[in-house]
Amino acid sequence: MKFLDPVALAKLGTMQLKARTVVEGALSGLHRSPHHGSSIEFAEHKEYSPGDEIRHIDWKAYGKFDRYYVKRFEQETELSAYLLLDSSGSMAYRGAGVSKLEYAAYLAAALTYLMIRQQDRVGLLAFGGDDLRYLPPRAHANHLHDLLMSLEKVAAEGGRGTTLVAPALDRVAELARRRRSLVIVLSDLFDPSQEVVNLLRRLRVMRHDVAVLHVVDDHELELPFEGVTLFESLEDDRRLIADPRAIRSAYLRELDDFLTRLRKGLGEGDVEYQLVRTSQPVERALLDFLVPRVRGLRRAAG
Amino acid sequence: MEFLAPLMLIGLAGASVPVIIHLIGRRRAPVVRFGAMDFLLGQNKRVARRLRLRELLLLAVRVLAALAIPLALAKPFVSCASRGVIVSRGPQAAVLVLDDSYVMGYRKGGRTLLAEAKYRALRVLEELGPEADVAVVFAAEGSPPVPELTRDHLRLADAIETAPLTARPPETTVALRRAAALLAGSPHAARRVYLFSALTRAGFGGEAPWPPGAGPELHAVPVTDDADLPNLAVTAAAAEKDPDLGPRGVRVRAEITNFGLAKVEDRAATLVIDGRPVARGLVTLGPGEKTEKRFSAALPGEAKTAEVSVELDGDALAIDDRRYLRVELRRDVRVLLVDGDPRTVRHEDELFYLETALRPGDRSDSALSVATTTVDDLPKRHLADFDVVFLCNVRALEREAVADIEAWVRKGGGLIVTMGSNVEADAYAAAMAPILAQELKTPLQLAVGPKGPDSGRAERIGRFEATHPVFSVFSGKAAGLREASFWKIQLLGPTAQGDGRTALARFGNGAPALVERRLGAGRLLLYTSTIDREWNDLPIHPGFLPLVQQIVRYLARAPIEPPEAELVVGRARELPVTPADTRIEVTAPSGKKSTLEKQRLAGRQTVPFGGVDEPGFYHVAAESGDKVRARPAADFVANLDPRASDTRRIDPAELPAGGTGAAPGEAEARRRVELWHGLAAALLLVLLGEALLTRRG
Repeated sequence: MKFLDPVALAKLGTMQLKARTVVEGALSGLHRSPHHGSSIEFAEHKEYSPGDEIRHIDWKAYGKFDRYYVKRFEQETELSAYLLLDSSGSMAYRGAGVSKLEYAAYLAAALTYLMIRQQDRVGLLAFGGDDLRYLPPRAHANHLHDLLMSLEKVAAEGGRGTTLVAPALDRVAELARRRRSLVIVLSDLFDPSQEVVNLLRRLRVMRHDVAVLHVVDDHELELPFEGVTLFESLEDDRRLIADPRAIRSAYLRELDDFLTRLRKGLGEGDVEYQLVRTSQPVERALLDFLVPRVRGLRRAAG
Repeated sequence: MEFLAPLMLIGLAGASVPVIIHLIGRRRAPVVRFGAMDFLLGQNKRVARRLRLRELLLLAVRVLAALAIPLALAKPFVSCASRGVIVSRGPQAAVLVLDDSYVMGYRKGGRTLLAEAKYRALRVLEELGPEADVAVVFAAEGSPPVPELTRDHLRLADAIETAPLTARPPETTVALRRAAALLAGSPHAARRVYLFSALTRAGFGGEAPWPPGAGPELHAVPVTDDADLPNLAVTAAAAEKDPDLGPRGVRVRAEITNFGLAKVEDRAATLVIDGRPVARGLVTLGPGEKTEKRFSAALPGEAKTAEVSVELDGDALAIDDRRYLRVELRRDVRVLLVDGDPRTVRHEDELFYLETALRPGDRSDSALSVATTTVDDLPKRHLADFDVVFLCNVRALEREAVADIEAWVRKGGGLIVTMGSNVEADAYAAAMAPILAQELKTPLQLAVGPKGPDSGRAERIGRFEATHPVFSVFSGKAAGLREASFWKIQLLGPTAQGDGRTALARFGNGAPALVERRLGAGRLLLYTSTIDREWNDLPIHPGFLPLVQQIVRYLARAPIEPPEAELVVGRARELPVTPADTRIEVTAPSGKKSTLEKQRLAGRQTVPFGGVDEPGFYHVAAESGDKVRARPAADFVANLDPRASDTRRIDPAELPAGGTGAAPGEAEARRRVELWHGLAAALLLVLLGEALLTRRG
């Protein structure tokens, strides 16, 4: 299986084309639609009314209550998905390839394309510093265009401000309080506060489906620089002149501690976590996200 | 600051080079705009600070190096006023005069002035350089002969370092004179004397060490800047008997002087006898004042001698805070008076006046122990218990008694025979001749009595041997002796020339009044009149008492010489020697032993001991045959010469003028101090630091 390199992907035209390319590539790898068939997740009963699918009449309930009740399934409740895209300054970091923000935007576009195509409602919340851009969840085709345009714009503007994931999560919790939703966070999560993990877990407690796509650059994972280097913060005016050789081990130890804490905290809260390297193809990242979910749906349909 | 090569300062502009390089290097560092700064800074804040500090240090070190090089090449120097000795390096002749007198034991800041003087002398010796011919002269009295000028500075340094503090006064002027004499023989034109001293007055005096303006350069290096060196000292001490405290009572007088410029209040003074403090008092003295402190105490035990000292509570100069005395109670002279004419009425008794004169005031503490007896009881007496026997108007004794007395005299006894009505010349000639100084003839009645019509015929003492110990206490006229009237005298037989008899006194008519004869180791005296008022009225004249006292002392051979002068440290002590002595050992107060061997003792009655180097009590022991015995009679005490306790400093104007005409005191001059040596050394250190920093980076 061969996917497009993210750098090559970046050279493709519009965001819609990129999204389509990624989704097609991923689906060709998957060979099947992840949402093939009807939704199968039983949600509730409702009294039959004209126009309802007869095949969904619950005959057992009719036997008990002598009334027609129709089973309602999750798919039929219209999935609402919120894509939370971190557009803070740190997301503008670009190692050897595309920036984290570009990569996250591509991934978000692919997810949007996929879900809109399946009639799911998709909303976008792009946050960076004080800037918060929100598009409410909708399912029609025009909305796809709006979303992709927004993603393209966010990616083009580059990251701004500090990483503040917590306010965005708060906002989503408020927006999605009446309906179970799929919340996908695309961020480098360089907000080391424990509050982010707590908020994600709280969303999960609210019965939302929560997934974190942790976008990081290889250079951030390895600090491969040589010679005295002036490091400048992408989010503020902090600077550090240092020899990376002298500080690498301490840095990696610190980062590893952070990732371990993050995985453990999210895992304990039943929050899906996926580390996404910007060096890997976007299709691959998409597949890694979708495949477990498809398998889970099939098991549930079982 | 001034510079010998100021053009080199242009190079200071080079200090900007490291800064420029630093800034360029800083710009050249690749910039990485990084996202994970929290993790980068989290654990590395300390590292970053250290790196930044190292970077700044490196920059500073390089700037310093760039500054130091042109600065050093410009040869900077400063001119400063300098107090203290200026030492010229190079070929010259120099004498270091080091005061090692006891005043240099003065402690200041935990160290002695001598230690400070040594330190300064060693520094000057080092600064003079190897081409200087140098000698070291010590300024204490009695210092060893002056050595030659030498370039062996190591030996000189060793001599300075090991120089002990002496207990002698300073003779600074003498030392300067020696130094000048030493320098006079040097071929060098530059001749200098460096004097390391407290510059107290005691060391200066007498004739100037060299003619004004003609001597060597004198550089006085005072070892202290203080004008006042507070010092309280015991400058004299003496002891005498104190009858109020009994026969063993002594009164000690100590003279205490304050040599400081400030008043001293309530300083404790202690009387110590045989190592034990027995009395204590306080003294308060104004500046320059002296006082006499008196102590009274009874000597402990039965010993006739005691080691006594008066001690002050210590001050900065401790050595002169005590003074030593060796107190010796006089040995009682035991006198036996034989009464030839005892009476029941006391004033009529033959011994009434004599006994009274030998016990003036009837005091029990007289140095004489007087016993009386009668002729009949004389055989019961043991003569060996007495030193002197008076036979007063006794009838002729039995031959046995005379033989006993003669034997006793030959062994050293002293006998005097006085006349009276019981004395019969024939009987005396028959029995008493061996113990008579001269043969008796008939008495001569010159008058009836002192107030009779013929009293004018009475005789008086005419001539006497004024130099003889018996009469040495009388002045030339001896009025108290010559005014006495003698109305009856005992004439004596003829004397043969060379028979050892001596007429110590004669009457106006030439008849002997007192005759002496030696018998063996003893002495015989014959008084040709009565010891009471029967034949004369001498007992009621002032001369009677000293006469009989001197007679007793002479016969007992008690010392009547005046007390010997106080021995001061540095003087020789004459030690008595007996023919049997093969070795004499003297133990100094510090326990140091000195020995005088047989070769030095042979054929001498006294031997000088020159090892009196410290104050205190010296003990003497003598070896006779195989036995070493203490000889307490020869023990002696030595004290400091109190002159050096005067710590007042001499006015610099009173110092001898240097040969160059320069002020002899502390020099005050402009001195050029070159700084480039220090800069070069600092540059080396800076470069070393730069290398270390670079290597660690």
